[in-house]
Amino acid sequence: MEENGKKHIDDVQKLYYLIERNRYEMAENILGSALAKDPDSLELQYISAFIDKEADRLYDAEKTLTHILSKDPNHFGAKYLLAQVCNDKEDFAQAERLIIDLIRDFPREPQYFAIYAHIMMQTMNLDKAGKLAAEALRLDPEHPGALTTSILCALSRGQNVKAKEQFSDLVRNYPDAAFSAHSLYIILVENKKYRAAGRIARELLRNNPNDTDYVEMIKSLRLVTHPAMLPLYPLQRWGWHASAVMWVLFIIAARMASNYLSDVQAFIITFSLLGYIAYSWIAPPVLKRLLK
Amino acid sequence: MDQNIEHLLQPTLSIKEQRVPIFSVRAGFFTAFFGGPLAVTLLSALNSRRLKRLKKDLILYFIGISGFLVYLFILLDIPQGVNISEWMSSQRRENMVYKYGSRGLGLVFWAVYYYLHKQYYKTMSLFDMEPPNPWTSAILCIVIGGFFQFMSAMLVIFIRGLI
Repeated sequence: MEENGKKHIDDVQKLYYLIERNRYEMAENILGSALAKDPDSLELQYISAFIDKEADRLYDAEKTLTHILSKDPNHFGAKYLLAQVCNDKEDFAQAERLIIDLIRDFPREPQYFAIYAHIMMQTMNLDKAGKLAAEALRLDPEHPGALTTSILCALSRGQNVKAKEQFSDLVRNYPDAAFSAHSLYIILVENKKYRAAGRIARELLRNNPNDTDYVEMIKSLRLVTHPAMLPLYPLQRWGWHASAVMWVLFIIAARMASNYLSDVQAFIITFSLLGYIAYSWIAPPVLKRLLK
Repeated sequence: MDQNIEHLLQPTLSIKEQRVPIFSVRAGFFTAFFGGPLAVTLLSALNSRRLKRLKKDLILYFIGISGFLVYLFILLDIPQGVNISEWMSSQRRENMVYKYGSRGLGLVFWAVYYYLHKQYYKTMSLFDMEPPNPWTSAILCIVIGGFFQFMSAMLVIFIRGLI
């Protein structure tokens, strides 16, 4: 009996060791045999749900976590993981309910406020997100989750200076952490520094090869840095401002061409401009499909 | 629990209303360009409704529409006895100013509404959210906005005729 218990602890420690190093396949093999020996272990079930979440098997993870919470409603780890799974599944109402429960149980935990702020941002409740992020920072001004959420809030409000200051705090306290690099990636993309952002994304993927989010980041950057997108640089760089200017210039140029140039020249100019506009509409979705 | 944070812990989301991205800036631009100020106001009001902040934004829409009516009132000075449909289709300078001015004013409205919802557009780009398909809503806004713009112009011409 005692030997079985020791073996169970060994398995759990080994599993956490493998999870920390992103060795999910190896962990799943050990987990299979450990669960066969001890199918009622909530700790092993929790680990199984964690791996399912990381592997994007969200429905399996949700099922396991719901089962754990039915056996032990005070399993806070399971509740927190379930909130994250619901968030990933875009079941934000359920994620919100779970996070509120956790905050009521642990009102001084900044991570829960940060996650709640994140959920509010994703559902466009920006005022509330800002207040929650501020509360997370008030509880711990150096908490990485609070800082990253606060950076996102500042960027969405166009407070780039504040975002950069908070990013400096983050890098100073956690220079090697993945979330610091991820925040840098976001800031670079916001500032349209796509090539630099691409280097960060590739580095993040190299360190976490199983993370599909990083793959998506690189895919979207491949689109904006593709040579076929070069003619659309002004539109990428200045966004809708450039789009508006392009349309106004197009109308002025087309009218001037029809008034002051020969029919053939006016025809060529008008259709060149129309061609550019059509290219700006067609090229991005076509490239997106091709690069998939 | 601290009273200051208690109000933050009231649930905001219901099962039905969850993530609600708004119509893209480009959709707004084309609606303003082809439909004019009233059409883009309608589209922006739809965005406000999606963001559950229509009450908050209503005052701005009211000011915008009132400003547009004043603009029409100043501009549409049609001499007595002139056939209105002929005037509307003519190349007279006043008519040209009305047509292009309305379009320009539509673009000004679009820019103002963009700044009103700028933080939401930023959030959509940060979280890689796809805007909803704008075609049906934008075309409806252009048709309804265009109709009301025409009716407003007729009303203004009628009122001016009475004065």
